Amino acid sequence: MTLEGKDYGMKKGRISFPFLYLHLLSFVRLQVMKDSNRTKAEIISELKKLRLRTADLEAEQKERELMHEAVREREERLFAFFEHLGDAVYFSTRDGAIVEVNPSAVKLFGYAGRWMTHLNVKDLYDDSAEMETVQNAIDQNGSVRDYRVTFRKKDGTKMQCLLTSTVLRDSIGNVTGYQGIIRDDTELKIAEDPLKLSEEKFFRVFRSSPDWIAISSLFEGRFIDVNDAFLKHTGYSRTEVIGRTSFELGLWVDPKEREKMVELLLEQGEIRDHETKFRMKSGEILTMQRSSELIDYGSEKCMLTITRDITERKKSEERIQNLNAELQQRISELTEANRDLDAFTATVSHDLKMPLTVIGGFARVLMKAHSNNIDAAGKELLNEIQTYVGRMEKLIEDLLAFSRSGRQKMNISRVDMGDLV
Amino acid sequence: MEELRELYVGRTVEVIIQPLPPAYADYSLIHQVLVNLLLNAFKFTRQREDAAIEVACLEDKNEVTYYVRDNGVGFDAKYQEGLFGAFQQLHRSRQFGGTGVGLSIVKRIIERHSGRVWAEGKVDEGAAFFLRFQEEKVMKPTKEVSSLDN
Repeated sequence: MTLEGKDYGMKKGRISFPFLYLHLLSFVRLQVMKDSNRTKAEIISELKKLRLRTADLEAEQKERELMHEAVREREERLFAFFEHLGDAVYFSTRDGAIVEVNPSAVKLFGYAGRWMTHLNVKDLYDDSAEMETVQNAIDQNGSVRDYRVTFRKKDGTKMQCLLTSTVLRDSIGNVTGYQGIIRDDTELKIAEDPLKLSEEKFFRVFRSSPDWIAISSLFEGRFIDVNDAFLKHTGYSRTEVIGRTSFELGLWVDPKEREKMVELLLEQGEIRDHETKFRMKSGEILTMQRSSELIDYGSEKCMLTITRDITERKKSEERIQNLNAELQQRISELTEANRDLDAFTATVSHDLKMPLTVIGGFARVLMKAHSNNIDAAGKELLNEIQTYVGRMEKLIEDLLAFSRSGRQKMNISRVDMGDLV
Repeated sequence: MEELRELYVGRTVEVIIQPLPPAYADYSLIHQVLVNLLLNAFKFTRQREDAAIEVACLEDKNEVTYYVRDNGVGFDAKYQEGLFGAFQQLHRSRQFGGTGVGLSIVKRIIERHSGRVWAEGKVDEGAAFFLRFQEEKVMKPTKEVSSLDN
């Protein structure tokens, strides 16, 4: 049963039951007044019919309520599915303005939830040309399934995704918008493609390396890409660097060095650990160690260069070298001073010893040969002289021993320490 | 030791000599070292009636540390640094005699052997002088000596 039937002479559309009932009653009353000449039996039969219809309508109302409930439940289920689906889902208008997204989409693209509905689908694509291709494919076929697309996160990270999208149409078939399901395929795609894998690895190294990495055209030195470490070191911004040459930036302290390097690179294909001085934006000059390789970047011959700041290391090396030289100098000075001292000690000791021997000798002679002529006090003094002479002789001997202990040639052999004692 | 005994006739000193492993060194220089250390020990135990001197060693893996210990007047640990300097005497020379060169000769000779010498002591509790030569592997006999052996 349906309310849309022509039995009631009504237009298509919804109309509430009480209103309909009143409408019918007034219609009947009008008919009664018009056809007052109709028989009572006829009127009763008419009323019976009306009661029957009323019962029908009540049943129909009940059924509609049940249907409404079913629709609501289904809507809830679909909404939960939409909210919890692991894949990103979006709805957009014909122009691409995003109308609604699910939490997975918010998570995948990294935008704050409410902001996504201010975006256009084209903001999500890495390359707007690709977006047009995809759009055309959807428009032509009504949908695309697992279409490989490169999207870009809010932070700029590129993602390989699979897009399944369908056009949304209104009741008369006009395209009103699109709905899309996006699955992030980056990891998967890399895993199955060794080339992509190595590309991804390179990209990670490029991004995270603490050393400069730059790709520049071989002959001109025009920068095509540089990593963050390059910008951090040089002090230039990306826009100041990309598209400009190293000459324009005044990076090379000696620009001729670059020409030599290009020659060498063409000859050998690679350069390892060349020391070069570079000028930063601030004017500071750093000593760097660079390694370069020839690469084909698109159709252009380019070089990939990794450069390490070794200014501090050079300074330390120089400091160590200076210190070593200084130390060596001191050692030779000290050795010489020691040699001089030993020679001096030996000579002086010998020279001191001789007159001392004479003094001691005379004192002894005086004591022995002339003891009769010397009184007790004099003898006491002579004894004192001999004691002091003896002490001085000991000192000189020790000095000589000290000098010898430093100069004597050594003969290393196995010495029995027990026997020695 | 006999020479030393002669120098100090009339003194009773108990000298204990423990078995000592051989060293690789210059014979005459190391002789000088031991003489100086023993002289030192005799000298500074003069005031003790029960004077005792011990010559021994500590062995640890590859390293041998020889030492001469006495129970003499000892020294204050804070003067340890100056002990081996030339002409440095902690005690008045009148009291014990000597010129203050002995220990500096010891130090000089041991350093020429790439070794190390140090002392431990306490006032009135004696002193010990330790010697350590460089490891045998490094200190090889010179050619002249080995040719003599042949």
